[in-house]
Amino acid sequence: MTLQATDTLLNISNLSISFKSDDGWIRAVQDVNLQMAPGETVGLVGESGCGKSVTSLAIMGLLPRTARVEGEISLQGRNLTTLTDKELRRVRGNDVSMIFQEPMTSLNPILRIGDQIAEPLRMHAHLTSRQMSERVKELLAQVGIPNPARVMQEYPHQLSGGMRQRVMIAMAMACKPKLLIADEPTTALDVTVQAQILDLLRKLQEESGMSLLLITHDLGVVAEMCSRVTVMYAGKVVEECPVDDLYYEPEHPYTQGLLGSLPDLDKRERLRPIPGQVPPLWAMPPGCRFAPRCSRAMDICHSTEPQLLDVEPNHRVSCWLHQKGGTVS
Amino acid sequence: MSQLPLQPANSAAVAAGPRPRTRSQRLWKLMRSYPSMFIGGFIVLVMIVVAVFAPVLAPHDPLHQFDNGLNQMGMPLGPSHQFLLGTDPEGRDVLSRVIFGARVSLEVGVFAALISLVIGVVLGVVSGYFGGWVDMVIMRFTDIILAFPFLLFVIALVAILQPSVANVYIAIGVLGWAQMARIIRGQVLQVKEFEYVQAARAIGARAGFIIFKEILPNVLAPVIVFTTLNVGTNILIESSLSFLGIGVQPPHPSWGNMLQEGMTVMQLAPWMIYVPGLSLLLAVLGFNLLGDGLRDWLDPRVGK
Repeated sequence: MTLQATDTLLNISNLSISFKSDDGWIRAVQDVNLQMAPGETVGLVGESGCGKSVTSLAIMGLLPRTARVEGEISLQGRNLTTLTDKELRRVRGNDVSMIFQEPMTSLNPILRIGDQIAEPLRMHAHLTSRQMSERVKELLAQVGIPNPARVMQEYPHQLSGGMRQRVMIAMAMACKPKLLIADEPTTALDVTVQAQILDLLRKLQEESGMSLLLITHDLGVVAEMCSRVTVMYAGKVVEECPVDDLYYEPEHPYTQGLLGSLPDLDKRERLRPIPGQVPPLWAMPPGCRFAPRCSRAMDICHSTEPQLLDVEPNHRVSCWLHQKGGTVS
Repeated sequence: MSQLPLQPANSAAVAAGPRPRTRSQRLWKLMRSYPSMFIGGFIVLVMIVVAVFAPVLAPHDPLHQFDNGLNQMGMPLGPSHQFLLGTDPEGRDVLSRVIFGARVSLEVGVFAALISLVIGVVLGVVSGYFGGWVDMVIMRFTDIILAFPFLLFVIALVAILQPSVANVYIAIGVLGWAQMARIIRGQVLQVKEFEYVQAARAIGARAGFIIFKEILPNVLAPVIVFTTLNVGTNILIESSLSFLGIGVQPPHPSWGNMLQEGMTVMQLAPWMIYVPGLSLLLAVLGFNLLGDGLRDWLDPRVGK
């Protein structure tokens, strides 16, 4: 095994995803690149509709059949986009797992908790029923559920939102995945519970050495959890950097805008929201997609798309302000 | 299927006040909240008992023509000690015939409903789950079935198959699945968008698993309700067919052909109409009440 192979767990290169509509193909995600090392936590940040969830579904191979995926998604050097359905099923829940935003609807209301957690084990591991129930108990204890033996017998409606999210995490962890995708895992939870769930994810990650792709729009969560961040806007990556740079030296006006719309207790200023809205997918501006909302937009921003280029080592930005050809007007 | 949660959110402890403690207290509360379910259930239960134990309960052989079953004029006898509900123009005991008629009604009602259930659920689930042109084809076929006058369609099919009890329920069942398929399809379309179905895919579940474990159990409530109501409808259709002479063939008793036989002597022997007619009314009422009650109980939105 070369160093290269051990260094990258997940490698997404030039990923584009389009959906078929009545007016032809609509591109939801364009030219996304993302690398993750084993054990690393990467944040994927952006507003609703910017393509973060679609990207994560593409990794799982869960996009509807009407979607067209171009580019490559490889997990440990294996290209997931070319796998058959059967091979993909073996990857899902086994090598890659996912937890969803809404713990209230992510569990089947009519299956006991124990049975639901056992499902991925049944699909991917060959265990006797006693081993299985031991493993389920172990998993429930691992995600911090008190009295696992009793909870196993309960139905989802008997648990609170936070507990259900723990159950979802237990399910995702059942087969010891190498990569866990968490799609807004704390958005639907109370603030105090949010912190507990994040702590739990961090603890599990330390124990198992898995990588965590955290999809969120909450920059606070990112600061707490991630080592690197990828910021997406309207289907494209606009900035990619270590988490500290994101807060101290955000380069892209959109990232700066995101941070500016966060309340800061030290400065008693008004919040500065980003004006305007994400352009609809079928009416993308020809140049930089953020240009219509950007306070520092130049002529070139409206006509030509910028490239994602290094401004420093490990810090890439797609903005004319940082590229040749951009002149302040 | 042993773990069906047939105890929805609004089941027992709907009303305010302390939680009923014992099992009988809870049952009493449930009965007061959903009386129609229990009244309907009681009628249905009585009908099942009567049908199952018909040979024990019937005082006479339903086919036997009694020598003393007719008066000197050759007319049927009214209710008496020997014939509690009178006799028919052939001198047979009406009570015994009504009791055995319950068997036919129940058999046809239930089996036809089960056949419709299986066909409707399979087509509905396939249609809703896979969508696309499969859905298109199945739903247009369903529309065609629904566009036919149902009774005429059944009559035609029974005529082809030869009239018999089995053929009657096969015909009703094979033609009566369309509404079921539509209901199921609608439910599946709704349920398959829930996140737990997506979550099942995310752990590597195959389509069969998702259909049987995630989707089907969650659309079961309307299936139960519709099937119960369907039994009542089927009983009515069976008696219409027998009344028209293409269902159960004389001398075997069915409520439909008893009504038909009674028509000719309606003025002289009204019991011949009232007895099977009222039985029919009660049976259909029972299944409808039960179905309505089950819907209120199983669907938290309709309940009180």
